[in-house]
Amino acid sequence: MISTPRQLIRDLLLLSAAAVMAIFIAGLCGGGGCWMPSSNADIFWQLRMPRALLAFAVGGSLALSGTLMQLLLRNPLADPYVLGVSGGAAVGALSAVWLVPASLAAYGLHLGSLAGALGAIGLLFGLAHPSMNRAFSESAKGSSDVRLILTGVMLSAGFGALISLLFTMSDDKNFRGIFFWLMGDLDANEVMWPIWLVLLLALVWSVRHAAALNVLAQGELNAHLLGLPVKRLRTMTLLTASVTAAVAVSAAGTIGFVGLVVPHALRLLYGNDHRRLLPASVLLGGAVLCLADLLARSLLAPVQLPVGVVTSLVGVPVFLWLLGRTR
Amino acid sequence: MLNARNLSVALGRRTLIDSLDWQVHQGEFWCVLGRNGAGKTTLLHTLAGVIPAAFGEVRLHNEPLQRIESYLLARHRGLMPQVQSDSFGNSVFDTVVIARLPHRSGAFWNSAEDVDAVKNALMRVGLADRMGDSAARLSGGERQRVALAALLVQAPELMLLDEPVSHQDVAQQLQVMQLLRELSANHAVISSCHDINLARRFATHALVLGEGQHWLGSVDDILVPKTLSLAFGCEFIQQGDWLVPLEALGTRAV
Repeated sequence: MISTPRQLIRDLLLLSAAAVMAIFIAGLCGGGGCWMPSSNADIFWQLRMPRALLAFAVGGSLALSGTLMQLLLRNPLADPYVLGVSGGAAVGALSAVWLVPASLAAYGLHLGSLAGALGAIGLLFGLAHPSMNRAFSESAKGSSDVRLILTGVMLSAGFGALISLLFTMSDDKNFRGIFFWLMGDLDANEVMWPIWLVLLLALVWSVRHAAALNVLAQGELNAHLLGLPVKRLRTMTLLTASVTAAVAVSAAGTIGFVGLVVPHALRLLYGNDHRRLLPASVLLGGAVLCLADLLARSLLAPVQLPVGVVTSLVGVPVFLWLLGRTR
Repeated sequence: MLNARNLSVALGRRTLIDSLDWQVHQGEFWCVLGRNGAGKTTLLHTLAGVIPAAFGEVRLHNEPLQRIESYLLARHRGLMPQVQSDSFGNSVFDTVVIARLPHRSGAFWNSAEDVDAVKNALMRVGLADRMGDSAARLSGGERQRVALAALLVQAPELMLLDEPVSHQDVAQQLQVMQLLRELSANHAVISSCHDINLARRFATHALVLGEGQHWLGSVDDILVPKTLSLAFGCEFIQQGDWLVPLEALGTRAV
């Protein structure tokens, strides 16, 4: 599909409008219906709006990270968690609560999970370093992508065991709180600037390099032959994707499927031109998570469902449907 | 244009080609022939600067390959790989336009020139009407010609091709070889080949790889029954214009 500047502007305007609408709908509505902000200003400005904005930033981050991971691993079915970021975040969060039980209430959970996720990225880079530097003629057959994926899968398996271990050792009181958080929790009473900053930086970097990333998607050998600094580009892509995912996970827990389904659906809709795909995935990912959170809050109100349950319940059938349509 | 001095090519610890001295100029169309595993692909990848030489050096316009910045190198040499990969469902146009990268000097959008170059290249390989199709759904031969079109839009002076006709039908084999012959007027073309008679008909020069030895020169001097039977280990006879392989002389008989 040939994309032109005009198409890009049209699509991005359309998606931006949808995103703004989603943020406002999520801000104005709840289990008890929808109001105008004037009638319930406090709830709107101090509760719903920060929450909707957090949902948007997290959804956008996850979708952007998923698009980059798919590109890097050259697999349209990869997601932000495929290389173990979510496992590392969970281990970090659980360790924080296990070491300092009081941290469940404070920022300890976020900081612990951020440390865990960044630790997982560091481990991945250390282990995958040799495979990132392999000769291109070997990687033409995909072996370096496969090595990276297998390293990530092994890390995830290791983290899975640690998570079980920490759960068996943790207090029953804390168990429910942590479990809820792991399934996705968008509680916020102020706008979380760090996640917006990271998302913005990641978006600017990826759009600036989108034309080069299109070449990288055609394989490392081709990219190298056409004069791209392949190793640096791959390393930066992996770093951008994993840090964005790590920050999103530490802000709101491991919310599944947004990072897989949104980029995949956009690929089917728009084709694989990353100049269009990368900004579009941020807008659609954000809008989708806003609306998913609205569902999670209002479906069984006053009971709040973890938003990860909603995204998975919707995401699984949507994904299977997309899969059946394509192949 | 291309100058290999005392070049050795190795895969792992196995030396495939030893002390090759070779000069290739514009106006020449070289076919590289040899048994499976003789080192044809490894040689092409070495000449393209994808893998380093085990020994000796390769110079392009008298400049060692390692010393040329990769973005500059991309304007001067191109390689059509043996295997193409389509992980995403990119269209034929998108797959080809990628190869304009060395000429875009960082532009974000495709220029009108880029689009024209792609259309022109697809026309030359007979795929003008398949521009919007998904590259992954083409037949093997068509996909291979998409890769050839990509090399055409990259338009490097030195064109390296790894078995460009391996998936082509008989008529397309002739067309592609004819195209390479035409290209060699303004470029230097080096291609690995399997069909000795096609090479004799279209190429100007041949490099034949045997085990531990090699022969190079004009096709008329090199592609003769004696050299070929030494390199391939099977007997050849000449019938009119055609070289016909007769029977295997037993494996590894060289």
